[in-house]
Amino acid sequence: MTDWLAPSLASAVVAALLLGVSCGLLGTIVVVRRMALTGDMISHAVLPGIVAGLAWSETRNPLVVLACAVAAGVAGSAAFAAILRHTRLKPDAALALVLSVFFALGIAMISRLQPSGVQAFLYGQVAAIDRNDLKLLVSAGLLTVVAVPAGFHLLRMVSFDPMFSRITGLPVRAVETVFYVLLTVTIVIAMQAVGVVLVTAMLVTPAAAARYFTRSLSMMAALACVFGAAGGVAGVWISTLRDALPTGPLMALAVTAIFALSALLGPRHGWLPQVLRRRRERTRIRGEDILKHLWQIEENTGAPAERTPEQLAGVFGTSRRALQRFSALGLLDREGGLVRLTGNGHQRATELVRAHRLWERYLTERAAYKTDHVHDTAERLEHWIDEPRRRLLAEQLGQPTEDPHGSPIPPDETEVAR
Amino acid sequence: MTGVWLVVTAAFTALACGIPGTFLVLRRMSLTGDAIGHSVLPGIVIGFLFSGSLDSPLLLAGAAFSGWLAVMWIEALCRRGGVREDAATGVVFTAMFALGVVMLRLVATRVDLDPDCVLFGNLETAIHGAGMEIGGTRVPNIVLTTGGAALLALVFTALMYHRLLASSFDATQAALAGMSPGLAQSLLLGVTSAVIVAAFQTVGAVMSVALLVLPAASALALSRRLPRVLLLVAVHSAVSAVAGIYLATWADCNLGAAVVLAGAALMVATWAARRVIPTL
Repeated sequence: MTDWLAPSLASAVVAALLLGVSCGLLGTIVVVRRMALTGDMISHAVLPGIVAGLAWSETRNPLVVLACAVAAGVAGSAAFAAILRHTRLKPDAALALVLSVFFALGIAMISRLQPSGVQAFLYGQVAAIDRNDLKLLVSAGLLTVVAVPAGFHLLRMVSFDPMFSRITGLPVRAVETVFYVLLTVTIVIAMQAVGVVLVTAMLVTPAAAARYFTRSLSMMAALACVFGAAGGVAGVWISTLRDALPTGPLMALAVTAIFALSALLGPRHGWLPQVLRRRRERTRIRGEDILKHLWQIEENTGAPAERTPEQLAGVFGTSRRALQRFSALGLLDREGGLVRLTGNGHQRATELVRAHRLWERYLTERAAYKTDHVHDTAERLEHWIDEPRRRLLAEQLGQPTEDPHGSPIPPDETEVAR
Repeated sequence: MTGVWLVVTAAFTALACGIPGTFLVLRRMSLTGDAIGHSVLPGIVIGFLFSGSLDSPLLLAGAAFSGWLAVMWIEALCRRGGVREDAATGVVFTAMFALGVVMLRLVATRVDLDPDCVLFGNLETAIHGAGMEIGGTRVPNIVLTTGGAALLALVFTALMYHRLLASSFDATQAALAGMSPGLAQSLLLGVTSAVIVAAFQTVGAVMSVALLVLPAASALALSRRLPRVLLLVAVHSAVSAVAGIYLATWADCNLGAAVVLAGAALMVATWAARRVIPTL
């Protein structure tokens, strides 16, 4: 535990926290603007600049390195734009070209110039982050944390509707420039922690994970910061457990683990919530089919219907969950081992039958369906038509009283009550 | 002799990558190629652990499997998880790559696998590695590996030519003609993984993407007919290999990077020439 107090480790934790927060903030914008792979391109394109800066500045002055890197990043973006303008190549090929050729230039320069300190940028070394880097990291992190929320409204407008923003006179160019420069600076700093390839993980993965929880951009940004910081610190912590464990890849794997959990459990599009929702819907449909079944027996025989669960299982398959839920809702009555409709259940069944028969009528009259083809479609749709829509159907069809097969269409009960 | 082997290996690598790369560019899947390039790493490490050699077919199998796994994972995220394609690609390839690096570091103390070859391969060392006697001359294994990859790419294209052509330009029509475009695509991605494994030792993960895309990018400046494009891809690969060796000797730098830079210069020159002489 005393290891945590060691200065190098403390600075590694601080660095991971700050990186997580600033990457999460910028990554949110990157993800919603669908430029995840543009971020990847920038992180490769800055390499020649970093090598030039390291070779030029003997003392490894972080500001010189940063300035050269930003210049190389701008050159990469310009090359991307030039490829799109002057050739027939598509954006995917242009991205792949810029990222790999700039990277090759960086590698050629490394092998020629052999600058010291380049290893940290290639593979990432949180431990190699020294006081100077930490100062830069803190100032860049603070700048991001202040600038992005402060300009959040502006950035959101410009990101989602650049055309409208330009027309209304917003400084689109300036906002974009500031955003790109901040992004490039953050990428260069993050590279020292996780290495050239895995910057994309710190940028994209926390934000992509946050999308599983919310639609709101500001909530997403806040969550992405939390995920990024948590993943970063977790990566640093795991790497202290054993020798020879690389911190950068572990940080990337930690944010990926957070992403995987979000993909499993996140309320929006998450796997488990989707499975549960689908199961709930299936139970509801099964229950509604049982209500309708009992209602129709009553329609044919004229007497309230009672069926044992076994008899119902013969028609629908085992429906224990549907029976439980619908009796809990007070739609079915299970006294004495027999299933029958309650008053509310009867009304709900009437609505379903009404939806079914109205829809059959609509299909035959308006969609030129044969009368013997409409049942299956109506059987599925009856579960999704509510009363306002039933009323609309009835109005459109001129308040019909019979379905195409001659069965009566039950009237709207609320109407009758009035 | 070393010089000849260097040129031959570089040309084989460029050709092996350039041919499947052409179809990736035509299908607008260059970035899937990039994702595969990074994602094969865990498969390579596992294959290497089991076989103990970089030339083993186990590496191919492992790499093809992890490349395939990455593509499936990206598709699953897009289709069922509601993640956009670019974000899904970014999440998946970095995860696979990070996993590969961690595995590599964990086993690196026990096996002799250079972590540098992940980011940039080293052609010179590869040439001086193990070799075998064929007809009285010593042929480095790397020449055979890259030659095999180039042969695989050529045979694959020859066998699947019509299916690849049809499914690249009109997947629906291909499906109607009973050509199973899904199968063609899966095989294409499998071959891509295989050639990337061969390119790993010579140029590394990132620059193999350049070799996938560059030849097609300049060939498409000169022709719009697939047979001619493929021929030009082969020419581009050979020229950039030879020019790259000269560049590397002149500038005294990494050979793989020099081959890529020579190829890039060739591509820029091709598009510039096309602008100057539009009838080209």
